[in-house]
Amino acid sequence: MVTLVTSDNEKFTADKEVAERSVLIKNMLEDVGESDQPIPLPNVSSSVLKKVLEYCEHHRGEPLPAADADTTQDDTRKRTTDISEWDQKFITVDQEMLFEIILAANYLDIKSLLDVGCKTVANMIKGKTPEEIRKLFNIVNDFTPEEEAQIKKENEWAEDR
Amino acid sequence: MDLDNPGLSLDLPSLSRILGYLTLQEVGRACMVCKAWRATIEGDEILWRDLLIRKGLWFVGESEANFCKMLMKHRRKAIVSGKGVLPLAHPYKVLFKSRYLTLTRWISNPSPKHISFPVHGHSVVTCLLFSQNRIISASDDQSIGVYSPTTGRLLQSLEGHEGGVWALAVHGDLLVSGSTDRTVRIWDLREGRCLHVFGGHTSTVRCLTIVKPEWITHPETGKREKWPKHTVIISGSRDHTLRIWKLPKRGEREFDSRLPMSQSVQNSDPPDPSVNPYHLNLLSEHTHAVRGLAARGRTAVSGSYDCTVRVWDIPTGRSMDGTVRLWSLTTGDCLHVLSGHTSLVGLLGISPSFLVSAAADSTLRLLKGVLAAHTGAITCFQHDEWKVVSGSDGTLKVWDLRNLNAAGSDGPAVPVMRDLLTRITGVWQVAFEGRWCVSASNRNDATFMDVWDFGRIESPDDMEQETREREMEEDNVWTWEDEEWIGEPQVYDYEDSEVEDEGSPPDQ
Repeated sequence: MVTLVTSDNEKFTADKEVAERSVLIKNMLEDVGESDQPIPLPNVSSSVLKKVLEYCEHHRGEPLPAADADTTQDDTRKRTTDISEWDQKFITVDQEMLFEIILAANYLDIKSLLDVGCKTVANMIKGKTPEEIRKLFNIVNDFTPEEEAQIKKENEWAEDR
Repeated sequence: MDLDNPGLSLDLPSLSRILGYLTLQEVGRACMVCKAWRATIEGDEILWRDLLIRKGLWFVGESEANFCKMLMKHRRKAIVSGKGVLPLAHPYKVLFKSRYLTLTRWISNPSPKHISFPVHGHSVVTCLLFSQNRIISASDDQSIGVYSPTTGRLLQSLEGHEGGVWALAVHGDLLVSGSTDRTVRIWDLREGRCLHVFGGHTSTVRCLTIVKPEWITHPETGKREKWPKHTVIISGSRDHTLRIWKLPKRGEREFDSRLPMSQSVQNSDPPDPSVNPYHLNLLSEHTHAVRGLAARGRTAVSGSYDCTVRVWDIPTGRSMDGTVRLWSLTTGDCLHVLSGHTSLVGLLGISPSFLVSAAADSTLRLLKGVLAAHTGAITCFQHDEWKVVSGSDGTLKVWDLRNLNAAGSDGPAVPVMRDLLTRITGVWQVAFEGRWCVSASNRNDATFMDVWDFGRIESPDDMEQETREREMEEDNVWTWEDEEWIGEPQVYDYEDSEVEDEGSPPDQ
């Protein structure tokens, strides 16, 4: 078993096999060797780690992507935004939690979870106007009216079919 | 919206990852959300490389690398002059836009903006180039014309040849011409004047090519070397020979073989090229007129009316072989020995995936298909990865090559995308680049230039307004930084004499 300590100082224990779906944790365990020392995860809160471990538990035993597959941020970026039924249900969370999961998956280096999170956001963006996207993510439009006109014009071509 | 608690925002590295799941249209919209999103999207190398690959616009490396190098160089210059407020896009984005529009607008534009104007009186247009937003035409009326593609206005008339002009080649702002007056002349397109007159050929100069230095592996020593050492001109003549000349840089001493001080013997005819500091070599193994030329690195290929093709090693001037073979640049294997036409093969062209030949038997042949809808001899053509534009029997046709790679079978029929000209007397020449297509043709014995702009749609209402805009546009100095829709030069290399500057090979 592995002990993980979150940013809000909560301790979680997980099977080594489950925790090691995080490349970060796997590397840390290799570095410290055989020891019962708890592993600090200062960038992950307890509510998020709970979700992450739930994901890792469900997918335990599945093959992991090759160690260096992501170093070039992948040539083979998958284009499909299909998400399996279980993952779909798992990722149906509020937006704040969704973004936290993406951040944590990135930090913990769990590629498949990162993909699920990013696909979910991509699906939210699909078919929306810039204004709808801003509203969705609570983003402030920081273009001046002149810049906005220029940017609208410079992106017209992408609407071509 | 709860502004007091904006919650956690999406971090930009994740945004970059999310973009990979979006379509081009969705990416375009995401670009308009806010400054940070725009900067992330515009600068995302992986996103744009991925889109290039997804849309089949990636030609495996070399042309893409050249494009990036060229654009970055021009940007460094622009930054010195303090240009640009919003952050600039990754070169791959600029390239994607250029290639994507070149592919789609040629198909989707229902009626490209078209202008037509008379040129060269009743004379034959022998050469037509489109380069850096200039149309350059040569004629047997002894003149060379430089025109604006937006207005059709004659910007420069280059006069001086004492015979018809039959060959042209351009290198940035330098134009090289060859004529029945047996001279090769070099012109400055910025100032519109002749800089050099090179004599030596004893008959018409019929073909010209410019060879730029590039890093290549020496065939014997295996060392990386730069060949040629300087940008050179190769001229081919009806006198059965080829001559190699150094292309003088801007500002180098001007040379005119006709002047007395340029001759070893008073008024020798032809002029003695040995006193010309720019003359490098004479290649003389053909037994008849030299009609066509192509060259790259150390190697030049010449075709002659003696029915042979010779392959030359430029530095030594040795002729190596007498067959036309198509070599793979990646493996060095001989891919094809060319045959198939039933009569004289006059024209050849090459691009990253296709080799096209045209002939008097009224077909164009591709390595993968035959384009058969013309009824007469093919007089001219040009092609790129997606299309062939060809002139014959009073029509100018655009052929659609897009499905050819997918078809994969031998000799599929290639569809005609559109007819640009029909029922005219004859098409002399055609040239296209990016959004522009230009042709020179004969209509009832008068010579006309036609220019199509596939980036604009013809609309009769705003004619006057358009004309004014166009006139203003013409006055603007054209630069690579106009990233609107660049279009790439034919051989996907960029006028770039600075390669000549000293430097180490790219991979050492």
